[in-house]
Amino acid sequence: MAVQKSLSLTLPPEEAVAIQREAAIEAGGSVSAFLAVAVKVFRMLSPADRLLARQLLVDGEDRRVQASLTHAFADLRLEASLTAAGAALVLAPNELARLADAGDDAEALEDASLAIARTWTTARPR
Amino acid sequence: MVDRVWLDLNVLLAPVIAAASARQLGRSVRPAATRELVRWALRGTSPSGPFQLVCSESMLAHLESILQDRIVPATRPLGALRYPALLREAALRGPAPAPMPFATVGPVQAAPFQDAEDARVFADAVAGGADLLVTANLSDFAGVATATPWLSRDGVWLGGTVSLPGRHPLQIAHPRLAAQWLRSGTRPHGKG
Repeated sequence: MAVQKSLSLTLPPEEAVAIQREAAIEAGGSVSAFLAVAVKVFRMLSPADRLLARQLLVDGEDRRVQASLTHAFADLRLEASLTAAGAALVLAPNELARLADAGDDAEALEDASLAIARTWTTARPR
Repeated sequence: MVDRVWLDLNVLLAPVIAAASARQLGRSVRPAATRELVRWALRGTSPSGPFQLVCSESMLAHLESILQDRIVPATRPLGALRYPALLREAALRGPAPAPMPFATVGPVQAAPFQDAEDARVFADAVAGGADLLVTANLSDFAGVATATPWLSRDGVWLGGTVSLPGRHPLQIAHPRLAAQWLRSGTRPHGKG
């Protein structure tokens, strides 16, 4: 499993490269892209989980570490996809004004975003 | 028990719109409920347990077409359309996935919908085995939710339950209510 193999960062370089290449192929991406993600995932772990991750390599599978890595990996991919989509999305002036009115209130921003989304989704067949 | 959750298109789009807003307005505030729901969908788990995203190919295609319509091709950064692919992956590889695409069956004819698209969303959610439909378009579904109404403190309708013959009940809820249930593990017991 690609996420679990990101733990291979702690292995000797030649072994890690081989495992990461395999994981990258499994994940459908390039080796460098996978490595970049794996490094980020590992950095997102708490110090305790990093210790556990290293321990995993010695003691075998640990479900808690696997879950942490899986969640971190999923969160990272979500953040990346939202950032990329958000960076490319063009909002109309009236939509921006509506969002700006929400200020720093997360609920108000959510309501404004949902309201805009509703206008987008009712404009075409869903 | 697995929560089988249909996140309506408006719920899936809200975090993207907020992300665009953050970039264009230069601020860091984030919506809480919709982003949380999508995060749980991709993780396949929420604080209340396994979380299975239920969605249809037609909805994901619509999401992709909306994003494509609003993205300037010349400036399209790599990965701008990865979001629908992530959601598809979550729907197909979650803790209890249903095969896609879903057949549009039964409830379309039976349910009193004003809009054919709402009827299709409802039918797809039922066909996919969803037990919770999360949407901000509550008024579109108010006609079918005949039992267990949930109201806000000021009396605003936040959702209800649809009883379907021969199937498990389907709860319909506003994203904030759904997120609150799943965050605190207080989703009404029996999912009906």
